[in-house]
Amino acid sequence: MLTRLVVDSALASLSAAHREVLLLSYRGDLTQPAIAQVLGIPLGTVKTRSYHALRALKSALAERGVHGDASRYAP
Amino acid sequence: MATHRATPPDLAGYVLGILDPGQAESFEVHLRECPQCRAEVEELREVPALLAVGDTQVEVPGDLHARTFARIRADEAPTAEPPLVLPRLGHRPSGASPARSVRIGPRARRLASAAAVAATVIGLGGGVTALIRTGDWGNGVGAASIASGENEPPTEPGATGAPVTTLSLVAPRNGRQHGAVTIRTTAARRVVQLRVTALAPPGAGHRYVCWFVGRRDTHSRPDRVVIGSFVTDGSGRATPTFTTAADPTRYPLVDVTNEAGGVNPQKRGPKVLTAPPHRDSDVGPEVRQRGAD
Repeated sequence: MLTRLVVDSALASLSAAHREVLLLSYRGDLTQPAIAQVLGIPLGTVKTRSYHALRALKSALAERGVHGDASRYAP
Repeated sequence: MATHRATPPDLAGYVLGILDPGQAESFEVHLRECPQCRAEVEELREVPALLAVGDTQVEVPGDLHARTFARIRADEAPTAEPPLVLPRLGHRPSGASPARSVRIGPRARRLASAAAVAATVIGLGGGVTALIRTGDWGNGVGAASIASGENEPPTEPGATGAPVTTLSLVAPRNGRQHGAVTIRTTAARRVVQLRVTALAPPGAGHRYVCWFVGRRDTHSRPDRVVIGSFVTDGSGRATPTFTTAADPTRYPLVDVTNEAGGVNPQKRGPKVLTAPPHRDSDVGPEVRQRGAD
């Protein structure tokens, strides 16, 4: 539960653009072309934004002391 | 050995597991030759699994829903629902580091329609659940009431808290046409879901226009802005969704009129639906109903 809160806090610290692309791709289970369609942005932007969003989330998690092995935290 | 300065565009999609199988295979071919990308995938591959650990109550950017519904509306076809997302095979990053397995949460859903995308986006934020919950259109038709926010779910962590207003729409002069409109106000704009029943098709060269209406609006001196236009099907039904940036405090009411064709409505068409009781006094004898009875 603590980790959930930390992950949510890390997500909330991202920019809106990063957060939405991650949520749509992971929780939304959308393909990148579909995300491009939903957000009305070019596919290439979705790809680069997804990469930077992953990087940003990784940093935000690390700042909160969450590193690596997700199997320990899996619900 | 492949080296490059820029990150390959498919790296993030690969880590997130959302490439199609062909793309994933191509990227894995690259991975086998590129220690730089292997290291990067290794570094990022835990992140999506942690995303699955998080709650779903993270606040979603306020206008994401509006943009999504706008896209859905743009994609809607009157006769068929085009697939927005093609079914695809499940793919998980697997080739980069066989020695380690990452548990990634189940993602069994495969979306095949714009409506499914809407459901997904709605599911992302607690606040927007209200849009669906107030979508129980069987409720309140003809009730002559404005229920502001009363259908919102209990406050949840991360809920956006955007107000939801549900208006019942009735026909002037006791016609049997009726409808309901749910308006969700975000920082950026309003998302308006309209459902109408027993409203005959508007007639050749005509369409229905849904308006936000100021309190001083009269037939001779209109004070209103267009939310969107629509037509009904043979059974008299329509369920359009619109977005608008109109100021909620400036235009607190909703009307539906029947307007002659063309790009810009003339603000002269007869009113066919209105939100009671505020609008009753405006329904004068000069308002002719056309295509409504």
